[in-house]
Amino acid sequence: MITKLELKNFRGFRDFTLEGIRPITLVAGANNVGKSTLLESLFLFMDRNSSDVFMKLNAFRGVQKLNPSPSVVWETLFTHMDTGNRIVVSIEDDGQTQSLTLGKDEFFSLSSVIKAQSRTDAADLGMPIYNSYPLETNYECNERKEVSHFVLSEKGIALHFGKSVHAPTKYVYYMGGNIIVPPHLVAEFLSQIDLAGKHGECIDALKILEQRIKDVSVVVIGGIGGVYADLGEPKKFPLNVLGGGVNKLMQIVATMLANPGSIFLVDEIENGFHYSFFPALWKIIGKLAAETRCQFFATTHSYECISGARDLATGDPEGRLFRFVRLDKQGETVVPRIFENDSFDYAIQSDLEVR
Amino acid sequence: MESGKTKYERIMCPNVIVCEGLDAKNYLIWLLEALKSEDARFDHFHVFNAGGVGELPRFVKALPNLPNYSIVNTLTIGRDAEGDAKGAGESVKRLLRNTNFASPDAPCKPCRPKGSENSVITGYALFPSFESDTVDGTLEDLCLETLAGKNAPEILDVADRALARVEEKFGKFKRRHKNRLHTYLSLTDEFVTGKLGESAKWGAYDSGHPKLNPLKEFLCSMADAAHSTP
Repeated sequence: MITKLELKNFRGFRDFTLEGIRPITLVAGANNVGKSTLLESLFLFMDRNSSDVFMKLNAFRGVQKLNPSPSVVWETLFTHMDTGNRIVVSIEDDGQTQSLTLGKDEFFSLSSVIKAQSRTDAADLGMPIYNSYPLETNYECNERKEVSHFVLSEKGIALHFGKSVHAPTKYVYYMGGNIIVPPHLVAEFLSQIDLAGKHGECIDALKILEQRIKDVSVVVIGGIGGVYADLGEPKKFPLNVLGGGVNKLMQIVATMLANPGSIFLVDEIENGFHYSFFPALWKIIGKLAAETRCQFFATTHSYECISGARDLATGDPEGRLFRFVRLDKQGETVVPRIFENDSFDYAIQSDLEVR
Repeated sequence: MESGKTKYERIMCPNVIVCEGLDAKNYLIWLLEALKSEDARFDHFHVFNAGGVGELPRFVKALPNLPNYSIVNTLTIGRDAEGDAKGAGESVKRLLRNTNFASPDAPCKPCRPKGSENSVITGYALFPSFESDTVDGTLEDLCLETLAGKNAPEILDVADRALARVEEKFGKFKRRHKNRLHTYLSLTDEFVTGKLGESAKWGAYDSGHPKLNPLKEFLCSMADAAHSTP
């Protein structure tokens, strides 16, 4: 489990440390304090070996098409867009410190590597972009060091792995804004859950939000799987017809059940849910996090969402499962205000502002 | 002074007072409002209700994490001395120490932080006498000593005689200070429906009474301490 995150020169986080991360960490704070950025740092770290990680990070911000230029693709990740200072994302995971450093490497040439390694025509890579440069990523964990390079060309973003790069051991899923877990993937997860005998658990969770649901199943039409709900009517309904909240809950439940040990990042978790559902939502997430060992990070603006987690906190006085963090800005510095669960419980009970 | 205009209470002023209950909160809000026309320093206090004397430590512990804490210069704790003023004072000092705040030596004395303590000046005041940790009693006792209503002494005398008769017949009241105040209030037209805090707003107590001078001087010294060098 990740228990500590350190950021240097990552967007608004010049020098930031967050300790005491728990299986469920809920983050609040004013606009532009860095809540979404915190999630993005974790996503970058976990998805570092994916050539489209920068596409995804930009898509989280609503940018769907990328001009293949460093200033668009990755420079916005650097504090003040200053690539003179390397980005560092470090985590402490199950007691081990791992770090990822990103920075310019103007001496790296992908074409020469390709020529040397495989005799592939370097022209397949496309023309290098004027005023571009390779971005080096440097992952370290104990003795292990892995160096990779992202290179921009007219054909897109290439990722060159150095020697012996290992795949990250945990998957990461992101939900927020328009970003969802794609329906075909949810269908696949439901199939996996079915095979694992956890179908009932999925239904029980959905029924709390939509009592009419008797069952959900995967239906394949035209080779594409989708999730359908049995509401006790003559025909089954595609789940996406039932409303945003049900779909969002299904995405959360199915992804966590099908991917034990994963990292789940949800930006503005309150979106799509009625305020009355929040206590039940946090109860479901708490149960799933404990059962699947998934680690859940969420941001919110909603007091009802925060107060909905109160039972999670009072049921966890030692703070082993849940933590509430408020990000605060002191001048240019972002400071985490970490609430122990008793303080959190007191603040909510007393209607104190905590966002 | 503002008491937080949003539904969820947010720190609005650099001088925070936390007291043990809603009555004390409303009383202090009334008093500060009454005093701010004579001294603008009283307009820069925000009064919180901790929700019970046992909740004071929880409030103080949560305080540094709350939004806008960075504007806080001073923290004052107000509570009843009850039946053991010295013990009440020690309890406040202990809770401040345990929450990494500066712990004053005595009531009504601003205390500057040292070392790694939270960088907020602290102080405390005990009802009814504020600056003494030897006088037992409560806010109700203070209110009864500073009555402003018409014919207050005569009405209080009637209240005392009524209480004495009831106690003679049925035994001593457990919280006589409350019975005494509420009996007095119920013997008036203006304050009959009010609790302590409401009756303050309606003019039951005298904001200019000399008994309140130690508290006024203390609060001014807290507001001034934040702007003066040690």
